[in-house]
Amino acid sequence: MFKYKTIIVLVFMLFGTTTIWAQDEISPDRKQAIDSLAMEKVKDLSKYITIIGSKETSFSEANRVIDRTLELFAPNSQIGVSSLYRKEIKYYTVRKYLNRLMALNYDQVSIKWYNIQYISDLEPQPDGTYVGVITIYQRFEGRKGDDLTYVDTTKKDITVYVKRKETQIGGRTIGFWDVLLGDIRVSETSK
Amino acid sequence: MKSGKTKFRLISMPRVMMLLMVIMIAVGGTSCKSKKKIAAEKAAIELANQIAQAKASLKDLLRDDNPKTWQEKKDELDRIKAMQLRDPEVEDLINQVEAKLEKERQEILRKEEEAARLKAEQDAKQQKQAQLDNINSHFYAIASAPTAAEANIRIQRAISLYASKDVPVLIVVSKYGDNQKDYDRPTSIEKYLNYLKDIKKYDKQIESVKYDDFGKIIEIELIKK
Repeated sequence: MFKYKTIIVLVFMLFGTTTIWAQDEISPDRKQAIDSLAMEKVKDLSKYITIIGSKETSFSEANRVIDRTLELFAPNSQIGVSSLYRKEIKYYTVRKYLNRLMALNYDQVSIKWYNIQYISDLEPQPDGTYVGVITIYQRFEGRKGDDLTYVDTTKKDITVYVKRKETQIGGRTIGFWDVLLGDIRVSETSK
Repeated sequence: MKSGKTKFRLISMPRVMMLLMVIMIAVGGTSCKSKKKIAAEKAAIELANQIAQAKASLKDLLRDDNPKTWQEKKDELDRIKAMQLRDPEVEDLINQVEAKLEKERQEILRKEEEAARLKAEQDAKQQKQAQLDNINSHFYAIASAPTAAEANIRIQRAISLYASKDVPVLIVVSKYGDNQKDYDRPTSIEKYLNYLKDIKKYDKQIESVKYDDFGKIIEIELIKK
């Protein structure tokens, strides 16, 4: 399923880019701002996942953060979960992934994201949406008592969609860039 | 003897008295006339001096580098006018000084108004800055709260500045063209304050704030530093 999506994205990137840039050119500064905005959303997701996974977070706070996290994602997005103990990667809807994360059977959970960077720059598509891919490394540590029960590092690719939208605020039209995260695909898992 | 008697009669006492009176009157009249003349001359000299002094003072008042204050110049002018010197040149100078003082008065008034305007602007700016500092201090306080519980208490304090928890928060991500702006997806103040609690970082500055009639914030626009 992901292969098809990636191929479609790449096809759009290859054939749609020049057309859109010509149709609706934005300055390098604006493009840079959009890049940063999308990157910031991924970093926000990183913080949210840490909060939801932490056993120190209260149930109500975790649920509130789950709701906020869901707002970051495009509808029907899925998150891949890998394990050192199995080859296959399981995919869950975002809500299910987050609920599972909150309920992980450890006394302590530590999740840290690092090396967050674009592996595919945001490029405009024929429908005006910018699509890119950001990769992150996730360090997961689960403890029971004082024992480090499970630890792994996964490399994940996050598809990012950015679309120009408009809304009415205080009687005037506001143009904004709506950043939505798509599927999160696991590309590597190691100890 | 007869001629002697006649002579005596000629210089009789009444005649002598009459003659003396005539002489006295003649002499006395001449003396009075002389005194008046002297007094008139003195007065004329004094007047000439006054006119000369008045002219000098008036010319002095017309100098642009005159160090006297406006009030001192006005007092000096009033003093000279009170002398009522009927001299055409003095009157002309008085007119010139009056015109100059009026111009200076207008300039002083203009400067006072300008100073008052600037002070009012400065005061308003300081007041506005104080309000912005207060809003920012709440954002920083929430972002730096040591615990979620403490952050929630600070959020409740911050919310009191806003008309409602749904007040829109606009975040400018870039400016382009003729002050056109690109925004992030609009959010509400409640969500934004919770965002600060979760992310533990406030790296924006206030671009603009709108208040209602009760001084509560009804819209806030932030921009990344």
